[in-house]
Amino acid sequence: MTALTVEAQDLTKYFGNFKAVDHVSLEVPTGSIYGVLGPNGAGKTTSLRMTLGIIDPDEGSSRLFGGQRPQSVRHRIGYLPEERGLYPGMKAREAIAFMGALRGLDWSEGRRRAEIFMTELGLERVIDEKIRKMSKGMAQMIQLIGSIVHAPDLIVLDEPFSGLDPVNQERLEMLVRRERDRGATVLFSTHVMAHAERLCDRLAIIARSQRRFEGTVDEARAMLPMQVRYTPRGLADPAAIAAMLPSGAEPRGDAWQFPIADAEVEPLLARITASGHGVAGLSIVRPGLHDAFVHIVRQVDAGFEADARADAIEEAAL
Amino acid sequence: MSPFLKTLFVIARRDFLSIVATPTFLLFLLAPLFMIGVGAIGGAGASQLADSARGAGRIVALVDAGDIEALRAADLRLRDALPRREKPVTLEIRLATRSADPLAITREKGSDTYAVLSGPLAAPRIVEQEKGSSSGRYLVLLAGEVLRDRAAGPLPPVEPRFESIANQGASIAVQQSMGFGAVFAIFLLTLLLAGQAVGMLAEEKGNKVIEILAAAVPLESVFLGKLLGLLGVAILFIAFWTAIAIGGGLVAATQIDPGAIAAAGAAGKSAAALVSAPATGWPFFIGIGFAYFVMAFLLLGAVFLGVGAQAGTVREIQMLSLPITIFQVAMFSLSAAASSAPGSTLATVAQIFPLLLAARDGRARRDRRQSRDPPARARLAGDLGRTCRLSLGTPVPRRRAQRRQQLEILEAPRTPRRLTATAHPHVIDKAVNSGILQLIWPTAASVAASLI
Repeated sequence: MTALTVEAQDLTKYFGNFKAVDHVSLEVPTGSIYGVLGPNGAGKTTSLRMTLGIIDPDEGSSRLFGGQRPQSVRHRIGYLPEERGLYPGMKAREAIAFMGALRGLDWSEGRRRAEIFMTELGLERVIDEKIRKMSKGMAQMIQLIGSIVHAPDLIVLDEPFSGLDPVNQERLEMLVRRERDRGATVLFSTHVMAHAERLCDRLAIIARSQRRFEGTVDEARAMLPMQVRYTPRGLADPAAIAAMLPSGAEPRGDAWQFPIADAEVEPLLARITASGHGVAGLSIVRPGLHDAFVHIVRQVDAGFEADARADAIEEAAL
Repeated sequence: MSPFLKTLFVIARRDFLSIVATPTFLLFLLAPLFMIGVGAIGGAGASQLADSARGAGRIVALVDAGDIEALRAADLRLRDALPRREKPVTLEIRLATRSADPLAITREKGSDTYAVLSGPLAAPRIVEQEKGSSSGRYLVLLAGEVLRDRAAGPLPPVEPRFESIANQGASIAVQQSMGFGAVFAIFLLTLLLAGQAVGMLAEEKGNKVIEILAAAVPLESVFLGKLLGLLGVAILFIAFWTAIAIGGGLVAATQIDPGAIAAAGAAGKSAAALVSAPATGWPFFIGIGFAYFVMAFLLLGAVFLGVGAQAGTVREIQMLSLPITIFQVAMFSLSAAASSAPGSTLATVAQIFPLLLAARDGRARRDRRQSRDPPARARLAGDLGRTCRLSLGTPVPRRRAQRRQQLEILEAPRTPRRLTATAHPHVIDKAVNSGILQLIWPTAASVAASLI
């Protein structure tokens, strides 16, 4: 078993009577990229804050780097909060060095690294520009650099992709991979599945305050059956084709679409070949993380709505 | 250097530079110029007015031809002994003719006539503007002088030999006013400069940097770092004006020869301060004055910083500024009143209440003035050390509570189901506020306790 950089057990947080986070556990293997996915307001940010010890959990505990309290290892952590904030009067180079200095890096070393990072990310033009003169996306990149300038062992990024253009999103992904290759562990939250699908070694899905899934991207995608899209060659009787295909098949223009269990794939191919309807197009794909995510969140929501209805009936009866 | 101190200085450095490296700071630095300017203009106007009024006034003596010279000589002699500001207005001596009418003279245009003497010197008739005025009595005095001279005959001239008493040390009055001046300066500077702390934490709240800080460093170092940064600004401000004052003094000294200063020392109180020294000597006086300033600044600054941190927006800070100004004025009056009435109940209250540190300072200074014996000095040093420890050291034992506070930084609002992501910064603000309050009041309370 690989070592864990983050071990957060049963984190629970109440905001008044509202349970914002309900027994969420996060185990992030050292040297991996770990995604925390969830819809808006699911409790991702609160979970990350508790993991880093910025707030205290009402129940549960968080240990980093093998049993250390988060506050005692601040200098080994880099954190990009969800609420972006920099001093607008500071120059980019100084802002980055300042954030490094807060985590124990030398000012001069911070300035030197700031220049290297900014040049790499195509921001050399604004190295000595004040933050207030920058676009939001630029400022966000500066803050991102500031949170990793001290070469931390654990990097926690809260919604790092929001507000960035596609080019910068690409650069950020590159940066994240490179930090991982350097040996850092990266923990980030997002609700954009494409990034998670490309980046994450493992992920957790949080919805309605609870962790609903934990595993690799492939494991998440495996929760849904594969989708088949089949287009017969030439004109044929739809009834005959429908008879050959599983019962859930629906015509979409010329094509037919239906889900399929893993074991059914080869028999289906044999049937199609034998039927003589020909193949103008055939695709059998695993649904993306996006669909898996939506599926999980919908399931949770459906359960909640059912509960809500039941509660309402109970209340009306009283 | 421990990590705590290191982050403290990182924060202090950032704050100091962000304040100093702005054009607004220049305005702040030069603000006393406006005060001096307005004062100078007002003062010049007032003295001009007074001068022109003085030049226009006169007293008139209508005397016989034989008395004119004697009267003029007596006037010169008496006038010489009076201080400049108290010299009587110009004496106009006229030959008494039959047509001369004192009342007509008072009605003459061109100048104010305060009093007119007429008739024989032994029984003069005085016509005066105000009954029992000094001008009238001066004329009578002159008449008496002339008569006495005449009756006594020629006297040998007095040949005085003047000797300076400067080497016996400064007078009690000068030392007292020096003490009070120092207290006044320290307290005024503290209030004015520490007042700047009110808006300091609103910046972080406004631009959301607070979460970066809270994640990266303990909250105490944010708080103390800000205070330290502001102290740096205050010291820069004082150093700037001290340098200007010393520079100005040196330039002035090259223009005036030392003899003139010594001569001025005999004449004016402020000039006397230049050549006299405080009871403890200048280095100790300035050193302890500076130490008291730093401590008073840290204490008051902490309170202002904490109070200001309760405000989240510029509007709230503006609303807070009125009570804070009133508080400052009240403290200043209380402190001034207490230091001018040592031993009274008021003074005791001021000594116990921690934020009136300057009043304590005043008492200590007086102790020092009244007795130069070693025990008093030792007691004073003990005082100093204690206050120093309290001002600088108290937040450190608070760490545990503070840590807990920091962990509770996202404590929930009381409205559950409306919780959204946007609720969080507000929540952080709230937590920071109560955290800072936790930090201040124990500090203040422990200072108070130690004094009792």
